Amino acid sequence: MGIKINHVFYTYQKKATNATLALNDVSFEIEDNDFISIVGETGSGKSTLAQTFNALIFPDEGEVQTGDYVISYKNRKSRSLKGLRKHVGLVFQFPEYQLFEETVEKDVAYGVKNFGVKGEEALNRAHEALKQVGLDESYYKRTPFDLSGGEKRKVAMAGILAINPDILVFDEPTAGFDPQSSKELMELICEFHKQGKTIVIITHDMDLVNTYTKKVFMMEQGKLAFQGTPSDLFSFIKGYDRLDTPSVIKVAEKLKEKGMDIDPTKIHSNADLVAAIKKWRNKA
Amino acid sequence: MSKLEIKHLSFSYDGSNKVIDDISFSVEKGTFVSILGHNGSGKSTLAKLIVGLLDKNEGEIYFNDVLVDKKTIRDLQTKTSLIFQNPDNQFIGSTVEDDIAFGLENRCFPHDKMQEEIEKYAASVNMLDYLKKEPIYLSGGQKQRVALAGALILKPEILILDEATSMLDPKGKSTVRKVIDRIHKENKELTIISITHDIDEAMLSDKVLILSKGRLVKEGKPQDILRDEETLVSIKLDMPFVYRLEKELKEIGIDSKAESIDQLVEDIWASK
Repeated sequence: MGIKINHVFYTYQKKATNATLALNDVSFEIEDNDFISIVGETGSGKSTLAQTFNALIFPDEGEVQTGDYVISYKNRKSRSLKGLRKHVGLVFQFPEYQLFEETVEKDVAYGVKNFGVKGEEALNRAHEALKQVGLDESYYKRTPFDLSGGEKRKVAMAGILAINPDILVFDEPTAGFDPQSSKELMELICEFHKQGKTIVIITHDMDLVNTYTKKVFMMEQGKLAFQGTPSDLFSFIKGYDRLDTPSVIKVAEKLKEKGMDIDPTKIHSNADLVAAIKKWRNKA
Repeated sequence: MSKLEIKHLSFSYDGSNKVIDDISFSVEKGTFVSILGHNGSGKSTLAKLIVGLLDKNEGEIYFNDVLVDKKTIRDLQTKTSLIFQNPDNQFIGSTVEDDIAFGLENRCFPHDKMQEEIEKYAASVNMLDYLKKEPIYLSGGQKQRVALAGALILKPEILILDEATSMLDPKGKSTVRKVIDRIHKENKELTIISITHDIDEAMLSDKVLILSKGRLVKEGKPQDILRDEETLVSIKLDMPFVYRLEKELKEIGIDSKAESIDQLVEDIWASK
């Protein structure tokens, strides 16, 4: 399932004097089974945009087409959107603030039950999802409120995974995770991608963008400022202090400045960099 | 004399799972200590135990060599400031200057001297131009810096940061990190305890403590501890970027012990 974003406008607090245009004529397309990232500084409209994908926000003008569902101002009260959220799972930034059930397994099963899955089956789906995020049986009966920040995040994420949507949108998935958990989560997301799901990652972490995604969209003050490959993005944002270039590309750029024959746009990992340095030394 | 001494501290939320399991360490006055650990390792619980937001099950805490108990905990609490992760949850005032003043007002600080004091501390976190601003006009990084000013104005002996930068974007992270680094360098008396996942941030500190499953597994200088890949990976952490790259470069015959990207670039270039 893909997403078509067509001339979308959105304003918060339309009647207030400090009304802000959060989305200003945004158009682009995410294809079925894409693995893309959306970047941009705080307040650029990234999260607002993501909320239009499953109709949490309706565009003031323009429309978002998710599979067969059309999300527009005109459709805002339409029953035709029923079922949309079974297909689009949105994992918010800091989902740990949304936990509310008595036990971890009940919390994860809650969403599934809303889509008509009953008792035992809902719990099974919850257990499966918990396993995917790396939480074993010992967590099932615990209260989510005594878990650490990172564990709460995993529980909240399992709640979305249990619904098994076709499109998964993650807003800053790894913020607050330890390095090992970040890596495991990203591997899990890659696995979902291989299974045919469409993946959208909203992030500030340029290492994630560089390592995992093939296509990247950059928002700036409510407008789409860039779309292309990660390496093109890093040349595009040079000189912006708002977005950070991945450390490995910084090293490559500094070496190039010194006169090394190296192409920073071809560097996606430490291994790429080391190989390029090796080649350069062999030549010298 | 150590500022803070923790002896055989243990704690459990439910009476059986030990979240903090027999932890002992000491923090010297004026040092900047980072506490690292995987999700659920007990980092935040430890911070809450230190300031008495949670009651320990076993063990002792000494503050300025005095045992902390029901009578003396007040002294520790008035001399300790905490900064939490979420910038929105700790903004109390309606404007920046109100927020910074909040703690001072609680302590009956003379009103005629207050403005001067607020401006001094707002300047120390580079927020002097925002005194009349309301929080909705501030970025996360700016709110955290206001929180820092509000904490420091109380002249604490210990500043505890509980993942103070983890909710911020890269720019916010780096501005807050710079302010913390400067505060540490300028206040020789202030002890800083920072709980973090950010290994690069931990490199700024004098000492690193590593927690895993409620136990203290390593303690030492960041330059030593953060090069120990085996230990770090075994407890779900990773080496800082510079050290990781150094290790991979070693395999192609480049030997570097650089502490920063610039230094590393020089070493690579010199290896031609």
